[in-house]
Amino acid sequence: MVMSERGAPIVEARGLSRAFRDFWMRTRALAVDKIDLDIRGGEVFGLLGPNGSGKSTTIKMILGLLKPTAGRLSVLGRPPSDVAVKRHIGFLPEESYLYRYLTPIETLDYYGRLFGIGRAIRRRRSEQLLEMVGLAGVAHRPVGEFSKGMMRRIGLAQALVNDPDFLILDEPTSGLDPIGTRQVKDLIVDLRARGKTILLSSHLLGDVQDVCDRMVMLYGGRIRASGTVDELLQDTESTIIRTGRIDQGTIQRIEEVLRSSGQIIEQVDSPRQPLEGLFMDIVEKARLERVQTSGATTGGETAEFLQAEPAQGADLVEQLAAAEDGPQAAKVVMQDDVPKDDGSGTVLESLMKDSVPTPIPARKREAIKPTADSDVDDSVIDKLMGKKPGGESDDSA
Amino acid sequence: MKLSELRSRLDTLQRQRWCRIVATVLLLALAGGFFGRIVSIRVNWDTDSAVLATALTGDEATTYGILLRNEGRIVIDGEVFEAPTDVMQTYLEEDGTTGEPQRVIFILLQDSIPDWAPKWLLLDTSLSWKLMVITSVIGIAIIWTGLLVSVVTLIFLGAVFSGIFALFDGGQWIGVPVAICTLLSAYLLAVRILQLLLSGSMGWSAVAHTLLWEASRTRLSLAFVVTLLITMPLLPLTLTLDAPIDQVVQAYIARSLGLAFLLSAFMMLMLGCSSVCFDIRDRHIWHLVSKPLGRFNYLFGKWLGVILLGGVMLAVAGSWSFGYVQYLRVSYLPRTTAEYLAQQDLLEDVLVARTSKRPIYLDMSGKEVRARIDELVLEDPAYQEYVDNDLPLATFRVLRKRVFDDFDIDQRRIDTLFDQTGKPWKKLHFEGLQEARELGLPMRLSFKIYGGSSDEHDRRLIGIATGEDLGEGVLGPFIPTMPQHVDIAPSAIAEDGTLDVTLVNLTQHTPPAGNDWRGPAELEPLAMTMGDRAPFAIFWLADELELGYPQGTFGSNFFWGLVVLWLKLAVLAAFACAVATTLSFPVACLVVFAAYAAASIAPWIGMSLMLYGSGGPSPESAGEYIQWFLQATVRTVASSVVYLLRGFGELQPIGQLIEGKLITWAWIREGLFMAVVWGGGAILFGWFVLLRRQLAIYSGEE
Repeated sequence: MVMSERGAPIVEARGLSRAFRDFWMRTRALAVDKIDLDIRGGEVFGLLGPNGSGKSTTIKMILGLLKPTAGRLSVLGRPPSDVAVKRHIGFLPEESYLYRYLTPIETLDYYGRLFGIGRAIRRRRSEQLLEMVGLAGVAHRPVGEFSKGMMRRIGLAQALVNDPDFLILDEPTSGLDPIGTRQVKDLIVDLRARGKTILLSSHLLGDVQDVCDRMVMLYGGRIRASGTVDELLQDTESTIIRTGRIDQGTIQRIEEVLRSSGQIIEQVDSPRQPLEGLFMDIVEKARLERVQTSGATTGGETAEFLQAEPAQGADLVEQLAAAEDGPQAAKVVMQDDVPKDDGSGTVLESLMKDSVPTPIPARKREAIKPTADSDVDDSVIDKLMGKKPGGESDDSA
Repeated sequence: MKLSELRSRLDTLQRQRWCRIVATVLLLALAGGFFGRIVSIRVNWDTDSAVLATALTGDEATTYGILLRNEGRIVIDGEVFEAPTDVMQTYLEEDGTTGEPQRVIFILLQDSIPDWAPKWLLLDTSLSWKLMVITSVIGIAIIWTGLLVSVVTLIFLGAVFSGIFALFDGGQWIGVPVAICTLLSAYLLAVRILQLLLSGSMGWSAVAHTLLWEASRTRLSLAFVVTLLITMPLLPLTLTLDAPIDQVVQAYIARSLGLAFLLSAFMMLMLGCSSVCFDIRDRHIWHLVSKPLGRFNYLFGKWLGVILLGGVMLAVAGSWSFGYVQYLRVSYLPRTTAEYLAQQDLLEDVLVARTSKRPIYLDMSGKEVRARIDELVLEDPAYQEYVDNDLPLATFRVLRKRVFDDFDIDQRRIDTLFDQTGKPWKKLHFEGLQEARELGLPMRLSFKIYGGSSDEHDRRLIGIATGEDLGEGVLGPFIPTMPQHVDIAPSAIAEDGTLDVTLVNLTQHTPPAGNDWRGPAELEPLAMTMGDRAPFAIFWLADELELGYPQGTFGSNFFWGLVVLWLKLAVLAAFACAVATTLSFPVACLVVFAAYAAASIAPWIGMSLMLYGSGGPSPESAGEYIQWFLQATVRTVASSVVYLLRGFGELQPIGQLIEGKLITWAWIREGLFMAVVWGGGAILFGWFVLLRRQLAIYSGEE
């Protein structure tokens, strides 16, 4: 397997355009309009935008399914139509267009053969992938009988059968239950840890924010914003302090301290348990009680062949995070090992001594858990989608 | 326990190595036991038969005969042979002699054949050995490809239904369920073997392999497969078994192979179209082209899968057809002279592979053509204006065609006694018969004669002689438009492998009764004398008079016939796959079925165009112009169809097999040429379309 060199260009697009014409050759739609794009090796790159913004068309051009009407596009340094390039690519389309008469095991075997993978490896990978996506129990049922979520799972498995260097995921969590969504995001983190490049297209903003290193936001076929997640989401106007539960007296004392430095507390709230966490707990409990399910099971760990070597995995994640340049998030997250507030003011005092925002030491998997009281700044997207702050989207947009 | 669970457990069991070994040993023991016993019965029969023949025709024949007549029992070398005395008294005289020793032997031995032993199998021990090997090989393949449970289930179901038919005295229907299940099992086995052969990691083999799954699991193609496998065992029920055996066998070959080809062609056209069209329509192609699978490999894999599946259908149906023909052959016991003659015709005319030679027809040189045209201009008042002027090109072409046609038909026509154009006979020259001469192979002159009103109820006389001498010819009847034949001794062939055959027009004479050829006869005096009937000129078509001699076995000829049919199917499959790259499924189906129909009838269209000519005076009124325009359009389309597709329609190996004619290498070459050039060309076209075509569509808002 050829690993893409970290930072080396995987996809390069310059002035890329794609127009669709009718029978009379009149332009029916300009789906992609002169976009410049660079996806670098080892990064998770997000394509973000509302429906019809040009995300899928861009992906189709990268895959060679559509030819650009203008501009230049190269994938792994070659034209997208080059069959040799496809050997390193895994693709999950927005819907799983799979043969309904094949079983999951036959489906994976088929796609594995298209990559020229030997029989023994194919069989092993197929079993591991089905275990990973939770379909091992229905490996011999025709895909045509599957629910949408199960189809997505088998679609994801087929995208990974060749252990791709460059994985293209078009709406990967669409149709998946929270467990599947969580697994997909875990998988993306695992793959990034192995130096894989991932192009993630989604209009689920949380998904993109949780896993992407860089992203572009498309609207009307044009790039409206681009940069790292932190660059785009940085909020230098406020500070969040997270700590154990504190009583009213302590809050008042904090408020006094803040008032002395000219600040006020805008909001005091007790976070609720995230719904995802609650859901995962219930499913896990049911699984332990061996409750039967006829569909997909919760799935297992990332397939063995897709995992980083045990000794390196965590290190790679650490290295990746440490290697990240650029601005860091303005939020301050208090770690568990920070002394709890005992009412003596030591925490507060230490904070006051270090009024500069503390950088995040390392990106941890926990950090990708969405929280119920989501602190995602949607203002940029809202603006693009015509939403008024706190209001509904403007459908006419 | 649920049935599915039971099946799952059995399936797991059959995949275990020890289970396969045990099943193989059992199979070999059963096959060896059954067929070995059959051979043993036949060997014992032959031995006892020889002993009895010696006894009943030797020195002690009368002693044994009297013993049999009086006691119904004799002992030879310690072995006892018995029969009822009243039966023996029918065949044995009082002095112990018999005029029918074979009949006596048969009666004495008939009880030695157990009821379970098929008589037709006992007649041919080599067939028993062959069947034992075939059964063992097929059985082992079934066991080791993991199909044992499926096949046993199918055969069990077939046996149950056959048993039900037997209970209600189902007659000919009894064997049908078992036969259907056997054919289904054979199909399953063939597909499984193909899948094993296609299990490599090449992209095209993966595509072909998956197409076999598609064909086995989707209703569209499965409908044709199941229809074929159900219909084949039912076909014998449509035969008129009272008819002469040669005609029964010919009818069966025509129907079984015709049906197999037709249903295979339909299945392949539908599957080729649906597989590619639905891949594009349902966006499976998005997955495929995002993998390292070239578009040519994709299309080639589809083509390969379709033609392999068609090959399986043809092979299963063809094997069944061949097996049933062999069954008809070995199980037929003639009782009358007519039946015996029919059996002879079957063995000599149908179940053979005769090579054919046509007479050498001459060509005209350019000078001769020009000279004849000049003569025509002088003779025909219509061309008087061109006697001293140059002929316009169009007129020259018309005259040239007339000259060629006249010259051509003149070589295949024999005038009557009263025509002043020549003698009422024609010498035909054959070449390249060295092999027949050296091997002393009997030759057969087959012909179809036309003449007069070509009334197939008429009966006229014709004479045939070899060489120049009409003094030692043979006479025989012919029925206009009906195929006839006469045997010619290989000794008539000259050392250089040439043979002259003279046909004599004797239509003025009423032939004697019966169908026999009589001779030697003085043909020239007969030809030059008046008869009791009004004579007419006789003629034949170029491909309907030929000299044939056996040059191969029916088995190998049947195999090559199937190969040619399969090559034709490959062309259809390529066309279907190629058209499907650019059209939607219904339109693609319409196009390929129309093309298939046009290709099949192209020879008849060609014949129609030739017979009916351009015809009609030049248009003068508007209505006539419209009519002329429509006719010209239809003629142009028809001519194009004939030009492009005639080769497909004319390649009819089933007709060759029915007539016992050899499928020559020329046939196979032509089939191969069509499959590679036409089929390959169609695939290249489809590849070009796939390369140019944008496989994805715009999914956003306009």
